[in-house]
Amino acid sequence: MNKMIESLGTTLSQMIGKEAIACRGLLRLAIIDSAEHLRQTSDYSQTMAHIKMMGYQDWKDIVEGPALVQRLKGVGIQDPAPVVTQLRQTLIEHQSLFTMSAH
Amino acid sequence: MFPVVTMTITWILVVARLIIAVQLTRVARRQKLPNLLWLAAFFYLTGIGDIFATLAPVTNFNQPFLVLGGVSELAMVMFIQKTFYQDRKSPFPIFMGLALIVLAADILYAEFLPYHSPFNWLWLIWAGYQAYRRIADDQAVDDWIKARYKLVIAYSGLSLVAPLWTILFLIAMVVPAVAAFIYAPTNILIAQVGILAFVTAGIVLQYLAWIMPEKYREWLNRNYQPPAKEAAEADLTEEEIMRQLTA
Repeated sequence: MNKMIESLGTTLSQMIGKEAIACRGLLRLAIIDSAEHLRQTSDYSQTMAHIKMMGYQDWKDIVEGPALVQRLKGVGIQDPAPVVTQLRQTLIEHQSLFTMSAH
Repeated sequence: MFPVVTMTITWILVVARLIIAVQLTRVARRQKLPNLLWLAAFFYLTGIGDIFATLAPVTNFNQPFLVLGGVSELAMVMFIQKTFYQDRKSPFPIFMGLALIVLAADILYAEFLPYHSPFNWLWLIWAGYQAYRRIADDQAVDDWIKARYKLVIAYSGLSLVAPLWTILFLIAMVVPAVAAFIYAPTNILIAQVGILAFVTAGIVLQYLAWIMPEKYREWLNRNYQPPAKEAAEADLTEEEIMRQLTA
Protein backbone atom coordinates (compact mmCIF):
# COMPACT_ATOMS: atom_id res chain seq x y z
CA MET A 1 0.00 0.00 0.00
CA ASN A 2 1.13 3.53 -0.71
CA LYS A 3 3.04 4.89 2.30
CA MET A 4 1.89 8.48 1.96
CA ILE A 5 -1.82 7.62 2.17
CA GLU A 6 -1.03 5.67 5.35
CA SER A 7 0.91 8.57 6.88
CA LEU A 8 -1.72 11.13 5.94
CA GLY A 9 -4.50 8.76 7.05
CA THR A 10 -2.84 8.42 10.46
CA THR A 11 -2.53 12.21 10.77
CA LEU A 12 -6.16 12.71 9.74
CA SER A 13 -7.22 10.05 12.22
CA GLN A 14 -5.37 11.84 15.03
CA MET A 15 -6.84 15.21 14.01
CA ILE A 16 -10.50 14.19 13.79
CA GLY A 17 -10.52 11.23 16.19
CA LYS A 18 -11.84 8.63 13.72
CA GLU A 19 -10.56 5.24 12.56
CA ALA A 20 -7.48 5.43 10.31
CA ILE A 21 -9.04 3.02 7.80
CA ALA A 22 -12.00 5.40 7.32
CA CYS A 23 -9.66 8.40 7.11
CA ARG A 24 -7.69 6.72 4.35
CA GLY A 25 -11.02 6.09 2.67
CA LEU A 26 -11.83 9.80 2.86
CA LEU A 27 -8.49 10.69 1.30
CA ARG A 28 -9.19 8.13 -1.41
CA LEU A 29 -12.57 9.70 -2.11
CA ALA A 30 -10.97 13.16 -2.38
CA ILE A 31 -8.48 11.74 -4.91
CA ILE A 32 -11.31 10.14 -6.90
CA ASP A 33 -13.19 13.48 -6.86
CA SER A 34 -10.10 15.16 -8.32
CA ALA A 35 -9.43 12.67 -11.11
CA GLU A 36 -11.87 12.52 -14.01
CA HIS A 37 -10.93 8.97 -15.05
CA LEU A 38 -11.39 7.64 -11.50
CA ARG A 39 -14.85 9.21 -11.10
CA GLN A 40 -16.12 6.94 -13.86
CA THR A 41 -15.21 3.78 -11.97
CA SER A 42 -15.43 2.57 -8.40
CA ASP A 43 -12.66 0.01 -8.85
CA TYR A 44 -10.47 0.00 -5.74
CA SER A 45 -7.40 -1.50 -7.40
CA GLN A 46 -7.52 1.10 -10.19
CA THR A 47 -7.70 3.87 -7.61
CA MET A 48 -4.78 2.39 -5.67
CA ALA A 49 -2.74 2.03 -8.87
CA HIS A 50 -3.33 5.75 -9.46
CA ILE A 51 -2.36 6.58 -5.86
CA LYS A 52 0.81 4.50 -6.14
CA MET A 53 2.00 6.76 -8.95
CA MET A 54 1.24 9.99 -7.08
CA GLY A 55 4.29 12.09 -6.25
CA TYR A 56 4.85 14.97 -3.86
CA GLN A 57 3.19 17.60 -6.07
CA ASP A 58 0.17 15.35 -6.73
CA TRP A 59 -0.37 14.89 -3.01
CA LYS A 60 0.14 18.58 -2.37
CA ASP A 61 -2.60 19.33 -4.90
CA ILE A 62 -4.94 16.90 -3.11
CA VAL A 63 -4.17 18.15 0.40
CA GLU A 64 -4.59 21.81 -0.60
CA GLY A 65 -7.37 21.21 -3.12
CA PRO A 66 -11.11 21.91 -2.86
CA ALA A 67 -12.16 18.23 -3.06
CA LEU A 68 -10.66 17.35 0.33
CA VAL A 69 -12.09 20.47 1.95
CA GLN A 70 -15.53 19.53 0.62
CA ARG A 71 -15.15 15.98 1.90
CA LEU A 72 -14.04 17.19 5.34
CA LYS A 73 -17.03 19.53 5.52
CA GLY A 74 -19.19 16.64 4.39
CA VAL A 75 -18.28 14.65 7.50
CA GLY A 76 -19.07 17.55 9.80
CA ILE A 77 -15.74 19.36 10.14
CA GLN A 78 -16.80 23.00 10.13
CA ASP A 79 -13.28 24.43 9.94
CA PRO A 80 -11.05 22.19 7.79
CA ALA A 81 -8.13 24.69 7.72
CA PRO A 82 -6.23 23.31 10.76
CA VAL A 83 -6.69 19.76 9.44
CA VAL A 84 -5.36 20.77 6.02
CA THR A 85 -2.41 22.55 7.66
CA GLN A 86 -1.52 19.45 9.66
CA LEU A 87 -1.83 17.21 6.60
CA ARG A 88 0.43 19.56 4.65
CA GLN A 89 2.94 19.41 7.51
CA THR A 90 2.91 15.58 7.46
CA LEU A 91 3.38 15.60 3.69
CA ILE A 92 6.40 17.94 3.96
CA GLU A 93 7.97 16.01 6.85
CA HIS A 94 7.47 12.61 5.21
CA GLN A 95 8.36 13.68 1.64
CA SER A 96 11.47 11.48 1.60
CA LEU A 97 9.20 8.42 1.79
CA PHE A 98 8.42 8.84 -1.92
CA THR A 99 12.08 8.22 -2.66
CA MET A 100 12.91 5.75 0.08
CA SER A 101 9.95 3.47 -0.67
CA ALA A 102 10.61 3.38 -4.43
CA HIS A 103 11.83 0.11 -5.91
CA MET B 1 50.78 -6.89 -7.82
CA PHE B 2 49.37 -3.92 -5.88
CA PRO B 3 48.46 -1.79 -8.96
CA VAL B 4 46.77 -4.81 -10.58
CA VAL B 5 44.65 -5.44 -7.46
CA THR B 6 43.82 -1.74 -7.16
CA MET B 7 42.88 -1.48 -10.82
CA THR B 8 40.69 -4.58 -10.59
CA ILE B 9 38.87 -3.16 -7.59
CA THR B 10 38.38 0.24 -9.23
CA TRP B 11 36.93 -1.41 -12.36
CA ILE B 12 34.51 -3.33 -10.14
CA LEU B 13 33.57 -0.06 -8.45
CA VAL B 14 33.03 1.64 -11.82
CA VAL B 15 30.69 -1.15 -12.90
CA ALA B 16 28.84 -1.04 -9.55
CA ARG B 17 28.37 2.74 -9.80
CA LEU B 18 27.02 2.46 -13.35
CA ILE B 19 24.66 -0.40 -12.39
CA ILE B 20 23.32 1.73 -9.52
CA ALA B 21 22.93 4.71 -11.88
CA VAL B 22 21.00 2.70 -14.47
CA GLN B 23 18.73 1.20 -11.80
CA LEU B 24 18.03 4.64 -10.31
CA THR B 25 17.20 5.99 -13.77
CA ARG B 26 14.73 3.15 -14.35
CA VAL B 27 13.06 3.62 -10.96
CA ALA B 28 12.94 7.40 -11.44
CA ARG B 29 11.14 7.01 -14.76
CA ARG B 30 8.83 4.21 -13.57
CA GLN B 31 7.84 5.92 -10.32
CA LYS B 32 7.95 9.49 -11.66
CA LEU B 33 10.62 10.59 -9.18
CA PRO B 34 12.76 13.25 -10.92
CA ASN B 35 14.85 13.73 -7.78
CA LEU B 36 16.26 10.22 -8.27
CA LEU B 37 17.64 11.35 -11.62
CA TRP B 38 19.94 13.71 -9.70
CA LEU B 39 21.19 10.78 -7.64
CA ALA B 40 21.57 8.72 -10.82
CA ALA B 41 23.56 11.63 -12.30
CA PHE B 42 25.86 11.53 -9.27
CA PHE B 43 26.61 7.84 -9.91
CA TYR B 44 27.00 8.31 -13.69
CA LEU B 45 29.42 11.21 -13.18
CA THR B 46 31.52 9.50 -10.52
CA GLY B 47 31.46 6.21 -12.45
CA ILE B 48 32.61 7.83 -15.71
CA GLY B 49 35.15 9.91 -13.79
CA ASP B 50 36.55 6.74 -12.25
CA ILE B 51 37.02 5.25 -15.73
CA PHE B 52 39.36 8.13 -16.59
CA ALA B 53 41.11 7.78 -13.22
CA THR B 54 41.62 4.05 -13.74
CA LEU B 55 43.00 4.55 -17.24
CA ALA B 56 45.12 7.58 -16.24
CA PRO B 57 48.36 5.58 -15.69
CA VAL B 58 48.14 4.54 -19.36
CA THR B 59 46.54 7.64 -20.94
CA ASN B 60 48.14 10.26 -18.69
CA PHE B 61 44.83 12.12 -18.91
CA ASN B 62 42.72 12.42 -15.75
CA GLN B 63 41.24 15.92 -16.14
CA PRO B 64 37.68 14.54 -16.66
CA PHE B 65 38.05 12.61 -13.38
CA LEU B 66 38.81 15.85 -11.54
CA VAL B 67 36.03 17.88 -13.19
CA LEU B 68 33.35 15.17 -13.00
CA GLY B 69 34.16 14.70 -9.31
CA GLY B 70 33.30 18.37 -8.78
CA VAL B 71 30.20 18.29 -10.99
CA SER B 72 28.91 15.22 -9.11
CA GLU B 73 28.85 17.33 -5.94
CA LEU B 74 26.32 19.64 -7.62
CA ALA B 75 24.12 16.67 -8.51
CA MET B 76 24.25 15.47 -4.90
CA VAL B 77 23.18 18.90 -3.60
CA MET B 78 20.20 18.83 -5.97
CA PHE B 79 19.24 15.31 -4.87
CA ILE B 80 19.26 16.21 -1.17
CA GLN B 81 17.25 19.38 -1.79
CA LYS B 82 14.61 17.65 -3.94
CA THR B 83 14.30 14.62 -1.66
CA PHE B 84 14.12 16.26 1.77
CA TYR B 85 13.47 20.00 1.44
CA GLN B 86 10.54 20.74 -0.90
CA ASP B 87 8.38 23.55 0.54
CA ARG B 88 10.51 23.90 3.65
CA LYS B 89 13.39 26.03 4.86
CA SER B 90 16.64 24.68 3.47
CA PRO B 91 20.39 25.45 3.62
CA PHE B 92 20.45 24.73 -0.14
CA PRO B 93 22.13 28.03 -1.21
CA ILE B 94 24.98 27.46 1.26
CA PHE B 95 25.63 23.89 0.13
CA MET B 96 25.31 24.80 -3.55
CA GLY B 97 27.80 27.64 -3.00
CA LEU B 98 30.24 25.29 -1.29
CA ALA B 99 29.86 22.72 -4.08
CA LEU B 100 30.57 25.40 -6.70
CA ILE B 101 33.71 26.45 -4.81
CA VAL B 102 34.88 22.81 -4.72
CA LEU B 103 34.15 22.49 -8.45
CA ALA B 104 36.18 25.62 -9.17
CA ALA B 105 39.07 24.24 -7.07
CA ASP B 106 38.87 20.93 -8.97
CA ILE B 107 39.03 22.74 -12.32
CA LEU B 108 41.75 25.21 -11.36
CA TYR B 109 43.98 23.50 -8.84
CA ALA B 110 43.43 19.72 -8.62
CA GLU B 111 46.17 17.55 -10.13
CA PHE B 112 45.80 13.88 -9.25
CA LEU B 113 42.63 13.68 -7.13
CA PRO B 114 39.56 15.94 -7.02
CA TYR B 115 39.00 17.90 -3.82
CA HIS B 116 36.45 15.77 -1.98
CA SER B 117 34.06 17.88 0.05
CA PRO B 118 32.65 16.55 3.33
CA PHE B 119 29.76 19.03 3.32
CA ASN B 120 27.29 17.13 1.15
CA TRP B 121 27.81 13.88 3.05
CA LEU B 122 27.35 15.64 6.39
CA TRP B 123 24.19 17.27 5.04
CA LEU B 124 22.88 13.92 3.78
CA ILE B 125 23.58 12.29 7.16
CA TRP B 126 21.72 15.10 8.91
CA ALA B 127 18.74 15.22 6.51
CA GLY B 128 18.50 11.43 6.37
CA TYR B 129 18.64 11.07 10.14
CA GLN B 130 15.98 13.75 10.70
CA ALA B 131 13.70 12.08 8.15
CA TYR B 132 14.37 8.63 9.62
CA ARG B 133 13.46 9.82 13.13
CA ARG B 134 10.01 10.85 11.88
CA ILE B 135 9.18 7.41 10.52
CA ALA B 136 11.22 5.17 12.86
CA ASP B 137 8.23 4.28 15.05
CA ASP B 138 5.62 4.35 12.29
CA GLN B 139 4.08 0.87 12.00
CA ALA B 140 2.89 1.66 8.48
CA VAL B 141 6.44 2.02 7.16
CA ASP B 142 8.04 -1.28 6.17
CA ASP B 143 11.27 -2.37 7.81
CA TRP B 144 13.10 -2.41 4.47
CA ILE B 145 12.29 1.28 3.97
CA LYS B 146 13.62 2.09 7.44
CA ALA B 147 16.73 0.04 6.60
CA ARG B 148 17.24 2.10 3.45
CA TYR B 149 17.40 5.29 5.54
CA LYS B 150 20.02 3.63 7.76
CA LEU B 151 22.02 2.45 4.74
CA VAL B 152 22.03 5.96 3.28
CA ILE B 153 23.27 7.37 6.59
CA ALA B 154 25.90 4.60 6.88
CA TYR B 155 27.35 5.01 3.40
CA SER B 156 27.39 8.78 3.83
CA GLY B 157 29.49 8.24 6.97
CA LEU B 158 31.92 5.97 5.11
CA SER B 159 32.14 8.51 2.30
CA LEU B 160 33.61 11.05 4.71
CA VAL B 161 36.98 9.29 4.63
CA ALA B 162 38.02 10.64 1.21
CA PRO B 163 37.20 14.25 2.23
CA LEU B 164 39.28 13.68 5.37
CA TRP B 165 42.28 13.15 3.10
CA THR B 166 41.45 16.42 1.28
CA ILE B 167 41.30 18.23 4.62
CA LEU B 168 44.68 16.78 5.68
CA PHE B 169 46.07 17.76 2.28
CA LEU B 170 44.88 21.36 2.76
CA ILE B 171 46.27 21.49 6.31
CA ALA B 172 49.59 20.18 4.97
CA MET B 173 49.83 23.29 2.77
CA VAL B 174 50.28 25.46 5.85
CA VAL B 175 51.54 23.04 8.54
CA PRO B 176 54.90 21.46 7.61
CA ALA B 177 54.62 18.73 10.28
CA VAL B 178 51.37 17.49 8.73
CA ALA B 179 52.95 17.66 5.27
CA ALA B 180 55.89 15.55 6.46
CA PHE B 181 53.44 13.03 7.93
CA ILE B 182 51.07 12.62 4.98
CA TYR B 183 53.80 12.68 2.32
CA ALA B 184 55.78 9.89 3.98
CA PRO B 185 55.74 7.04 1.39
CA THR B 186 54.34 4.51 3.85
CA ASN B 187 51.57 6.86 4.95
CA ILE B 188 50.59 7.65 1.35
CA LEU B 189 50.28 3.93 0.67
CA ILE B 190 48.25 3.40 3.86
CA ALA B 191 46.01 6.33 2.91
CA GLN B 192 45.46 4.97 -0.61
CA VAL B 193 44.60 1.49 0.64
CA GLY B 194 42.45 2.91 3.44
CA ILE B 195 40.50 5.25 1.16
CA LEU B 196 39.99 2.44 -1.37
CA ALA B 197 38.72 0.14 1.41
CA PHE B 198 36.25 2.74 2.69
CA VAL B 199 35.12 3.69 -0.82
CA THR B 200 34.57 -0.01 -1.58
CA ALA B 201 32.57 -0.51 1.62
CA GLY B 202 30.59 2.65 0.83
CA ILE B 203 29.69 1.42 -2.66
CA VAL B 204 28.62 -1.97 -1.27
CA LEU B 205 26.19 -0.11 1.02
CA GLN B 206 25.08 2.16 -1.85
CA TYR B 207 24.38 -0.96 -3.89
CA LEU B 208 22.36 -2.51 -1.07
CA ALA B 209 20.47 0.76 -0.50
CA TRP B 210 19.51 1.57 -4.08
CA ILE B 211 19.58 -1.75 -5.93
CA MET B 212 18.35 -3.67 -2.90
CA PRO B 213 18.09 -7.20 -4.33
CA GLU B 214 14.65 -8.74 -3.79
CA LYS B 215 15.93 -11.49 -1.46
CA TYR B 216 17.71 -8.91 0.67
CA ARG B 217 14.56 -6.74 0.78
CA GLU B 218 12.47 -9.73 1.83
CA TRP B 219 15.02 -10.57 4.52
CA LEU B 220 14.93 -7.01 5.86
CA ASN B 221 11.15 -7.18 5.96
CA ARG B 222 10.97 -10.67 7.51
CA ASN B 223 9.46 -9.46 10.81
CA TYR B 224 7.24 -6.73 9.39
CA GLN B 225 3.51 -6.92 10.16
CA PRO B 226 1.37 -4.47 8.14
CA PRO B 227 -1.06 -2.64 10.44
CA ALA B 228 -4.18 -3.04 8.29
CA LYS B 229 -5.40 -5.61 5.81
CA GLU B 230 -5.84 -4.03 2.42
CA ALA B 231 -8.66 -6.47 1.62
CA ALA B 232 -10.86 -5.01 4.38
CA GLU B 233 -10.18 -1.52 3.09
CA ALA B 234 -11.05 -2.52 -0.46
CA ASP B 235 -14.51 -3.58 0.70
CA LEU B 236 -15.35 -0.17 2.15
CA THR B 237 -17.90 1.66 0.01
CA GLU B 238 -18.27 5.44 -0.08
CA GLU B 239 -21.41 5.17 2.05
CA GLU B 240 -19.62 3.09 4.68
CA ILE B 241 -16.68 5.51 4.80
CA MET B 242 -19.00 8.49 5.27
CA ARG B 243 -21.09 6.60 7.84
CA GLN B 244 -17.98 5.69 9.89
CA LEU B 245 -16.72 9.27 9.80
CA THR B 246 -20.04 10.86 10.77
CA ALA B 247 -20.94 8.32 13.48
